[in-house]
Amino acid sequence: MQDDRQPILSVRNLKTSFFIDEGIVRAVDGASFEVHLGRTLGIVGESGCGKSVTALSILGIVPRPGRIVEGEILLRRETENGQSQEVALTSLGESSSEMRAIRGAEIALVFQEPMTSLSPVHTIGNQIIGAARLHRKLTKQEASELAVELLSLVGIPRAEGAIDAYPFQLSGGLRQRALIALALSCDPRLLIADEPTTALDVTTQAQILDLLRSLQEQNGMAIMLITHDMGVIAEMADQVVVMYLGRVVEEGPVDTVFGESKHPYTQSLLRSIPSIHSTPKVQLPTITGTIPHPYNRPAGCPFHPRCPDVIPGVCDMHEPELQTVGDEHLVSCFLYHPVPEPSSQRSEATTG
Amino acid sequence: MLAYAARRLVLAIFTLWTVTVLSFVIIQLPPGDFVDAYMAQLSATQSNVSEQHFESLRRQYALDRPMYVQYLKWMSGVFSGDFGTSMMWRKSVLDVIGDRLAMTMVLSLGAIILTWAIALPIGIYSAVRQYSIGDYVFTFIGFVGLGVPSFLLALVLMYLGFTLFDSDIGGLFSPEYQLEPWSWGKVKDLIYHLPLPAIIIGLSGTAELIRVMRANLLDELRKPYVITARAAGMSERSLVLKYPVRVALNPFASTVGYLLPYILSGSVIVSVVLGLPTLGPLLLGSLVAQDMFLAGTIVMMLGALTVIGTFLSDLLLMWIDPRIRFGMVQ
Repeated sequence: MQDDRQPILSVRNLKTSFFIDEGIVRAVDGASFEVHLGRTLGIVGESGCGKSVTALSILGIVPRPGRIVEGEILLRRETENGQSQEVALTSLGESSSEMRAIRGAEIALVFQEPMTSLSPVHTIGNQIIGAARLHRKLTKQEASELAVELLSLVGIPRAEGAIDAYPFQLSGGLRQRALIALALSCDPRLLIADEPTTALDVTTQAQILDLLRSLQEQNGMAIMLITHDMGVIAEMADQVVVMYLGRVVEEGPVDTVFGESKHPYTQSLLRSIPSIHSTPKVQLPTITGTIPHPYNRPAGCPFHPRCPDVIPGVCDMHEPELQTVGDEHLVSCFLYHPVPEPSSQRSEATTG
Repeated sequence: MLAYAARRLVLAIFTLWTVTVLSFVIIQLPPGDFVDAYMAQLSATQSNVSEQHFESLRRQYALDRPMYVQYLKWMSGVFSGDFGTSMMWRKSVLDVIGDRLAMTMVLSLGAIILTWAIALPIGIYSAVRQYSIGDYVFTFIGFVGLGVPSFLLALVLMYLGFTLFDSDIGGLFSPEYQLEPWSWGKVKDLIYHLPLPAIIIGLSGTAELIRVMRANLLDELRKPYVITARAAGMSERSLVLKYPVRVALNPFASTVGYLLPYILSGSVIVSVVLGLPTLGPLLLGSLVAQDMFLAGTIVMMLGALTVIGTFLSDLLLMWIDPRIRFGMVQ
C-alpha cells in the first residue's frame, strides 16, 4: 500500500490564465491543495471561481486561449520496488503521449453535464469500449464484457442492453452513471468529479453521491469533488477547499471548516444553506453583490467589496495570504493574521 | 419504418403531380404560344409560310384547345411512356433529351464529389485551427470563390486554355468523339474532360460548404463530450474525427437530396458558355421557345430527382443519426 500520509496529487501555487483580447483573466490564481488516496477533497465556490479550470489544468486540457502560467502539479506513483515517484504533470507537454497515458488511465474526469457529455451519435458501449481500449490491451470482446461489468457496477439495470443504448435514450441519472462507468474504465486512482450532480434532481443526486462513495470504498481511489453545493460537500468530503475568484480562501478538514469557519466568505456560504431549524417564510441570508468578472478583480482581498467584516484601508489595499489558524486549518483573511508592513507589500498590492 | 416509407411515397406522388401542374401552367403564362413564337422567328427570317400551316400546327399540338385539355392529353401520354413531341425540334421529347440526362447526372455527380472532397477536409482544418494563417487563407479563397460568378471563371479558363495551351476546354468530348457511339475510348475521353467543368460548376458550392462545415464543427468542438473524450486520453486527431466531425456531418446528409437540381439550375449559364451537352441549355432554349412539352418534361424530371433525392437523403440521415432513427430530437 502507498503511504496514506503522502498525497497522490499535490497542486502547488497553480495559476491558469486566459489571454483574451480584453486582457488577462486569471481564472486560477495561486491554488494549492493535496489529494489523498481513499479520501475525498471537496472544492467549493460560486460559479466562475475557477473550480472547473482547476480540474482542466490538472488534466492538462485547458482550452485555448488559456494556459497554466505558474505552479506545479505533482502526481505520485508507485514504482516496481514499492518506492514512490513523483511526476510533474506541468512539465509534460499537453498532447505528449506521457500526458495522454495519464489522462483517463490514472486521472479520470466526470464532467458536469450528463446531457451533453456523451456523444449523441455513438452508443454508450462504443464510448466506454473506446476509452478502455485506449489504455488497456483488450480485445473488442473483452472490452465489451468490461463495459457491461462497469455499467452494472454503477447500477445501470439490464447492462447487457444498455451498452447498445444511445445517451438520449437514458434518463439524466442513468446518463451520469454511464459517464462514471466511462471514467472508471481504466481503474483511475484519482477521479475528478466536476459538479456531478448539479443537473440532476435531488433523489438522483443522493443516489449518485452514494454510488461515488461506495465505489471509493471498493477501489480506494481518491476523489476530487467540485461543487457549489455546501450540502454535497458536507455529505461527501474529508477535506474542503473553498475558492473565491481563483484563490483558495479557506482550507481544512470538513468538520473544522463547517464547525469553525473563519473566512467571512465561507461563513456567508454556510449561512445561505436552508436549514430545518430556520424560521419558515423568512428570506435566507444571501451574499450581497455579485461575483466580479475575473478581469475586473478588485484590488486587495478579492472578496472585500462583498465582505461584511471588511476592514477599510486594509482589505482593499493588501492581499491576504493563506496562513494556518489551527490544526490543518488554513485561511486567507486579515481578521486572523496581521497586516503586512507597507514596504513589503507594495509590489503585490499593485496587481488587480 | 414501412409506414414511414409508404407515407413518404404518397407525399412524393402528390408533390410530383403538383410540380407537373405548376410547370405546365407557368410555362404557358406568357402571352402567345409556341406557334406565335415560331411565327415571329420565321417572319424575322423573311420566310413565307401560309396561314394554314400555322393553323394545322396548332391543331396538331392541340394548342387551340383549353389548357386543361392539353394538360390531360399530355399526362395520359406520360403514363404510357410518351412524353409528347418537342415542337421546336420536331422530335419526340425523349429523343431530344436522350443522352443529356445521363451527361447531366455524370457531371453533377462529378461536381458534388469534387466539392465534398475539397470542402470537407478544408472545413475541418479551418475549424480545428481557427484563426490560424491557413484558416485565413482558406477563408479568403472561399469568399473569392463565392463572389466570382462561375460563368466568368469558365470564360477566363477557356481564354487561358485557348491562348496558353491552344486547346479548347469547352464541351465534354473531343471533336472526334462528339458524334461517335459509346465506346471505351469515348468514356476515357469523357473522364479526361470532366474535371474542369466539374470544378467550375462546383466552385461556389465548395466555398459555401467550407463555411458551413467550419461553423458546424466549431459548434461541436465546444461541446462537453469533446472534453470527456479528451479527458479519457484520446489523441486530438482521432477524437476530433471520431466525435465532433461525425456529428457535424449529419446536416450534410439532408442536403444531398436537392444538390442535383440545385447544381443543374445553377449551372445553366456555365453549361451554355462551355457548350456542355447537359439539360441546362436545353431547358433554357425550350422556355424561350415556349416548347411546353419539352420544358414540362425537363421540369418534371428535375422534380422527380428532387423528390427521390430527398427521400434517399432522409433514409441516409436516419441511418447515420440515431436521434432521428429513434424518433427523438434532442
